[in-house]
Amino acid sequence: MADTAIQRVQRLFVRHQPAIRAFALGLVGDFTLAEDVVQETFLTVSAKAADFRPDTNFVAWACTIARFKVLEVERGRRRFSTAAIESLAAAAPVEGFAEGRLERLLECIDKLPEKAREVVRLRYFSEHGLAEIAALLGRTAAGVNSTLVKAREALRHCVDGADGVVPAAGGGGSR
Amino acid sequence: MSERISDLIERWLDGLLDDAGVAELEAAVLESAAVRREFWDRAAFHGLVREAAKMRFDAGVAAAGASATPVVPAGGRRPAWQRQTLGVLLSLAIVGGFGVATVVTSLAWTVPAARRAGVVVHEEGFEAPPPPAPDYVPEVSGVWSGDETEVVIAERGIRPYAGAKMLRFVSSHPRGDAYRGKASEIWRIIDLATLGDDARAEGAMAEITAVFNGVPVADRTIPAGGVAIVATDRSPGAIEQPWLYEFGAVETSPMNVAIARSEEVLDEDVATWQRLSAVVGIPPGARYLILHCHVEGRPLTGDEAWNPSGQYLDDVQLTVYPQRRVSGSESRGLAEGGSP
Repeated sequence: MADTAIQRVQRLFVRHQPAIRAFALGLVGDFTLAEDVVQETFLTVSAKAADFRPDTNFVAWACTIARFKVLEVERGRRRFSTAAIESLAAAAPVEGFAEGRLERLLECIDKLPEKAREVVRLRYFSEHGLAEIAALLGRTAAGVNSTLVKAREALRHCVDGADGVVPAAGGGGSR
Repeated sequence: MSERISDLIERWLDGLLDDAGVAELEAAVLESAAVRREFWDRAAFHGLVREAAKMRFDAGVAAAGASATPVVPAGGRRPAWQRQTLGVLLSLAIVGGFGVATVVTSLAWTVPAARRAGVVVHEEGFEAPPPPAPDYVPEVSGVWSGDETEVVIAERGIRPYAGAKMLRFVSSHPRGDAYRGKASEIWRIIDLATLGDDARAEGAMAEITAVFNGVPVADRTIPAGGVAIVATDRSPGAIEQPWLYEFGAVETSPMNVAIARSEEVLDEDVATWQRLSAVVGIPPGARYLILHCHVEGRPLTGDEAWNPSGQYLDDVQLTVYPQRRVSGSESRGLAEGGSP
């Protein structure tokens, strides 16, 4: 049985959800708010399924809708101005995540030093803020931030470098 | 791009930027296309790390709720037919000398794994390529190979134990229907030299764990899953033939320095995974470990063949327990478990 228009866009949404979430995450800078934006976007995408033209870029279309959701969220928070959000949204990449990059990143996470890996887990899997992570680990927030920044750089080097090696990511800084 | 801008972007993405920082970043974003590109480059990577972390660390959460073996749903019981089947199979095992539950030979011993500090040296969740090659027993170390299998996402009511993917056993032969065997199996050979000194220290042990799941089957046979771990002094190219032709006597095969196996009938509950594990001592002289995971149908008679019909594998782990001081009954067990 052929998909309906709603099923088609929902299928596309599921496939490209990481890219749409990254778009929302960039504009709101908060995991929870980004998730709210993604869910609101999903509902609107489903409701407007008939408007989507299959020969156009789905991620671009969904991100246009997500941009409006971000503006709604930001109206109450007063962080980035509307002008800044519009400017960033216009410059956002509209391609999906490259699957190969994600697969390489999975391997690179395993290569991180244990302490850096734990900070990445608490930040990106458990979605704790840095202050919470510092309290959980008995470290300073500055120390956790330093570890996280170095871990991200190490992962970036590992994913994009030819050698797939994780350089030292810093795991110290205990109080 | 200045370090200051990169720092502002990173702090924004971590929710650490104060109002003054937001204003500074906003001004830079509005002014420079290069800043906007840098912003999205970092935001996209931030999102990518989040997706990867959700996949990778899901395993830990699932494992925390799956310490029992086998995994039975909270408050749940096995169906009556299956309890009876288990009883019948257990009787058969006793009479026939083949194990339904954990099989530990005289060359291996069981010690509660949680009581020792182990290091996970290999994890396979089938999330990243390459998938197991359909090429019999591997002839080199460091790759999965065996019968025909397929890496799949959630299907037939079964969700991966961890991450987004799992392995489905497809056939009891690497080349599809050309030959039908009695079990569908995969192997991985691990060079002990790559595991560091801990694995070669006197008294070291290695444990294989893996989770299995399966859909209800219409076949009269009952699917079972199994793991095995073998310490051998053979080189990888010399393992296939003895394994294939001496499997019935695998415990006494001359290629084995030590072996431990664990097998169990798979229940029909697609919502839960059953964890199997086997621990083997690594005797002096061992050069390689062979990890083995399989599913089979029971009982089979004579030359009867069997093919999988919806059995899955996920979260295979190899943990090495280094040398440690032991005492009491445990030390006696270790003394008896030396190399042959």
